[in-house]
Amino acid sequence: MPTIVSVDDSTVPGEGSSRLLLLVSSDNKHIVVEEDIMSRSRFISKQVEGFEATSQRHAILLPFSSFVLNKVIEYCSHYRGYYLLEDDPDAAPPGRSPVREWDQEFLDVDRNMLLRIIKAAHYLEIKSLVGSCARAIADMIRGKTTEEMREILGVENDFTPEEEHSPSSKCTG
Amino acid sequence: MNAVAQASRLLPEILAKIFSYNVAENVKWRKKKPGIGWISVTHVCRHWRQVALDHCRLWRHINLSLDEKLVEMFLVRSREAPLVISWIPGTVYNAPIKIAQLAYVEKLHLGKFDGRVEGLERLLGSPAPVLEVAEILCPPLICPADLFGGLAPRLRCLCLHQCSDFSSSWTSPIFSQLVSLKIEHTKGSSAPKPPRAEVFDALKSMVMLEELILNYCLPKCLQNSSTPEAFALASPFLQRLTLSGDFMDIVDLLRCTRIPDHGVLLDLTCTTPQSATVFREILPLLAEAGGNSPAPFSRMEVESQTERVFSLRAERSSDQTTPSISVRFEWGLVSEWTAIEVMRAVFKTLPVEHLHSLDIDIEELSAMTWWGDRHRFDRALWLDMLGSANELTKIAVWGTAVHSFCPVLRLTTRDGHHWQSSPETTSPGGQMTFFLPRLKSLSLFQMDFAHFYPDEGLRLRKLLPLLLQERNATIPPLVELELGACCHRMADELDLLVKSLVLCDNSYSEDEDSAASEEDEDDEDEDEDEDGDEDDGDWEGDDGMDES
Repeated sequence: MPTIVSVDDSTVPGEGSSRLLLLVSSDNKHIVVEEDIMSRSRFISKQVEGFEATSQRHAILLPFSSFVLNKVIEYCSHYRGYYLLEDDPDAAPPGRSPVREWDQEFLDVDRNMLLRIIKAAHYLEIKSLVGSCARAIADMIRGKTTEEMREILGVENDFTPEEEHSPSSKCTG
Repeated sequence: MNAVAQASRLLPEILAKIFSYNVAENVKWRKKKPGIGWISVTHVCRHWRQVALDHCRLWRHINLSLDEKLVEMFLVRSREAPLVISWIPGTVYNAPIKIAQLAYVEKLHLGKFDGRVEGLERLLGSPAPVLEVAEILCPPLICPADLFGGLAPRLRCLCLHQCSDFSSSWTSPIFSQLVSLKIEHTKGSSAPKPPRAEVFDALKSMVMLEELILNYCLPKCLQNSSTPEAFALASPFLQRLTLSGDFMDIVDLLRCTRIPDHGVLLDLTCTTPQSATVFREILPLLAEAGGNSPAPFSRMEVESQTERVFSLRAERSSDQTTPSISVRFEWGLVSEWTAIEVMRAVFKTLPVEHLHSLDIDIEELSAMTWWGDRHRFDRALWLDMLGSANELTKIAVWGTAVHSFCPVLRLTTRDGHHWQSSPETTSPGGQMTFFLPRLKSLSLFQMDFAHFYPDEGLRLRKLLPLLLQERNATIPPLVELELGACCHRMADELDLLVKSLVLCDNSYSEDEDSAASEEDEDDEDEDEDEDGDEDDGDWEGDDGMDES
């Protein structure tokens, strides 16, 4: 759960056309970002609604590093003002949405970073970013053998030899 | 190590999302070969396996071509998730279907198969409470009268191919929610025609219908039915209507169809004793369907290979800025009389004064009436049909028609004071003419006019440079000229002519057409003036060539 701390008004001058939010990463970096940009995050939106109810400004503490947070902010900034079907809670669940070229470049990062971003996106409830990351990871492992998948994503085989060689897992998955 | 590995620590819902992308890639709807490569994720580690097994929707795509054990495994693991069943029976003559009921099936695709599918009739008679899409292409089968037990409240798309007896199924209550209905027989099928009243009642109930395709399974029309009944097909969402069969049956259904104002695509393939008669019956219906719209259809394509079979595609679009007509008669099996009658009917339906694009391909007409006096493609006929087509920006004429069409183009010479409101019947030389002030693209193919009309050929060679020269006058520039497959006797001269022509740099685009305002045209003229100065030298040379 996020920790919410009170913030001095001077820290967050939030009376402009788009109010500012203070996000605090797990490495204690303070990042000020316009509320509009982060409105794609259902989590942030819910937090802001909470602020309005209490008439108090707060910083939002997030359980991931500033490096990851900055990537997420970069994503949200890029799509600021855009409608993305995946983020629409009222829309029908999207099937295979088209691959966005920009997303592919944006997610051209190392494996660990990709996994951190998807977790952050999931935490912040940004469905479109979760989908793009999931697709990127799926592309990484598609068509690969079990051993290759383990190697690519750094997963250890924790099956017992008996389980691994049992006819059921061999034949039927 | 797994306790700290990033991928292992991924939440189940994230992992399931990742897996779902690979499932979608592996098991595509209608994919012929079953793809189950994705299930190797269940062998990576315990966490992954558990996640895959826990998410039943990952297992819902079932290809019945798989081994029976695998099908059983998928059925078990999918639990109560709505199933997506596909099957291409392959070469087995007597193929048993591996599911017994449709209770959990959301999509059903049974591919084409020449043999008999055991148990299919029983399956199609079972209730389908969550079925949304059914494509059954494996004939022949006797369709149960109570299709899906009469219970398919979520069915939106139904496609039946070669269903040997569907006539008794039209009373089923499953039709009311359909968005797409496609029933196909092959031409000449001996399947009984369905009762008209039942079909029309079913169509009346389909108020959500967007697509209706009935190929060679139309109900028999009422004899002596001259007055149209209440609309049978009146879905305001209709976007595509494809009908094949006897033209009387098609006319019968069209009479009872309300074509919505928004875009709609009609695709009719008629068998008929006489194409021209059919066009006189059908096209007025289409015109009526257009209501008060000046151009009821933005695109119309007519194609006929014989006197007795023709197809007509008519598209109605909210964007009616660039109506076009395409007429094709091929293989020399259509008489000139038929071709002319059909074209007259077409041009009457889509008023030529709004026409922007014309594509006429009359490869060769039947010699039946080739030398007849009254029905012949000549200049008078073209003028009669297209005399008021002042908005034309693109013309392509192929084959036989080009012989009589080319001379009409002589009107668009520089002789500006003759360019009055059309149709203009004569020029000072007594030649019949018509006015094409907006022509931008001209394609003439298979010209053999030097043989049939040697004088006209000569004139055409003079005409084209003059036509192009008008760029500096009030005529928008011709930016695309294509001359192809000409008679070899003309080829060298035409090559020389084309090489000497300097057209505008911009290639022709229909989007640039006449929606342009007066202001735009003024701007265009100014631009052309700049280019024109550079070209004048070339034109002087060309004129000299022609005169010589």
